[in-house]
Amino acid sequence: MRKRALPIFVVLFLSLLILLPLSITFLLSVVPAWSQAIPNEFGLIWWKEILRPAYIKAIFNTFIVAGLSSIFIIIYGIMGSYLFSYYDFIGKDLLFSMILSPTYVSCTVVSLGLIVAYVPLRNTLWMMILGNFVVVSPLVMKYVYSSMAQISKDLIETSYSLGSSKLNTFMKIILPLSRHGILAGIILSIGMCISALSIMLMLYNANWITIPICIYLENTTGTLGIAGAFSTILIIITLITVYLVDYMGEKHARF
Amino acid sequence: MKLELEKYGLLSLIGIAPLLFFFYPIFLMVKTSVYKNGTFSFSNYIKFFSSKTFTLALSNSFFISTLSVIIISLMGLIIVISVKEHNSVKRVVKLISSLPMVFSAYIFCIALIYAYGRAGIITYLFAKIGIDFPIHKFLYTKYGIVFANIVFYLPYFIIPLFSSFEEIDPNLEEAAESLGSRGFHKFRKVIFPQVLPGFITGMLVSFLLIFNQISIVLAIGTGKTYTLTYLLFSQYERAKIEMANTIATVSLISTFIVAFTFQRILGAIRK
Repeated sequence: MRKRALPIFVVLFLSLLILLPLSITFLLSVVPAWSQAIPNEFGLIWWKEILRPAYIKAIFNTFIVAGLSSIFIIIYGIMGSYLFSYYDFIGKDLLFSMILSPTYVSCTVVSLGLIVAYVPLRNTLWMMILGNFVVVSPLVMKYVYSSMAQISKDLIETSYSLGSSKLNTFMKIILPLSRHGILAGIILSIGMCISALSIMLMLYNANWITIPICIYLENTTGTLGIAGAFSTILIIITLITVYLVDYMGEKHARF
Repeated sequence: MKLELEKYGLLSLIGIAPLLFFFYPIFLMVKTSVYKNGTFSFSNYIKFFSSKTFTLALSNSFFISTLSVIIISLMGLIIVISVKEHNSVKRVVKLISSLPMVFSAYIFCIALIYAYGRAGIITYLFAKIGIDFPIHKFLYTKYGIVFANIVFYLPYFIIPLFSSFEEIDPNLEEAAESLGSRGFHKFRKVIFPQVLPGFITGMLVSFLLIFNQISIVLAIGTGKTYTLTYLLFSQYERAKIEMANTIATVSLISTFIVAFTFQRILGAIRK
């Protein structure tokens, strides 16, 4: 009995710390008025509010920025993974470390660097895409690389020895066999770009306000219900992302 | 010949991205920080280190990150040890603790405020049964940022630590037990040395993530607690780009020093 008490306490403690606050985010979105910390009534007023054109535009912007960023991120991730999986060259480890280095630097530093270096792109959609690319592509490349590196080298050699060209081998063998890793990378990339706030804080502009920026702005003006509704949307998107990445990972492991 | 051309073509395409979009911007940022009106000068750094606000932000960043990492590593170790032998509980713990890894830190902090803040639901419910739940007393101070860091970054420490524990050879534990080593003695002499590299790496990753984050400081600090990243953002908002570049460079150098120190410690342990 005593042996089981400690693990159960750990689960309860983590639930109190992590699960409870997250469920409160949803509560914020369905409570129009509060009396102290207790809901006065329940309703969908904040959800109707986010259907206003300005907020719909923010949702649309989020998907455009995340979609375009993910196209570049995934192309770079596949090409990089192919290079690291099938070629040997001097400084391979150094280049891999260089690609991963933005992961350990503050997003504000990355944003400022981009603003200083690429002044003409300031306040444009391209700057936001570039920001996402720098921050998210290292993680996606790690994901795709771990999947591509597992493909048997013998299979590739056999394909070449049977007269298949490099492009043909890539399209017909490498891509299909690493599809679960690539798909997980795409989902991860879209999920991360949709919820990106730190990198967007300094790179966003008035024409391209995204959901995380909306949450930040609404929270600073005290409109908690709208921030709650947007947060709930992001939480749902994130949960779907986690489930799909996990599912793809499992499929890949089974393969 | 064709193969070499292909390899170097792909290599240049992949290698140019970090150079163009990460290292070149950082080089320009550092360069701008050491130039004042077109001449080489350390005046921005002199201003930084002679300003109470800036030095306080630097010490706050180190204080918050160090305290958070110490608590995270102790808590993480206790959690992992408590549940490592209970597979079903371990799965639940892994699942719950992996949630903050995929959520936006800012949203998570808003949720924490509405749960544990002055007018938070948990604070209110505990007050109803006569308990003054203490988190709201320090939530809006730097200790509140430490609390949010602990909750948000605990998974980044726990998940790799679980893997380190799973990699321990069970024969080693059995051998230790057969030689009479049990309980804390077995943990100190046999188990902990095995997981120490993973433990140190987890501490390094958590430290760097906490030191460089801004979302938690923005949400919890409410403009009263300054850290380096927060000051960088506020200097940029006020169009003081030169000082923002200086802060960014100080932040980068601090990150490098910490990473280098941890690597030296890891190297010494592995020897």
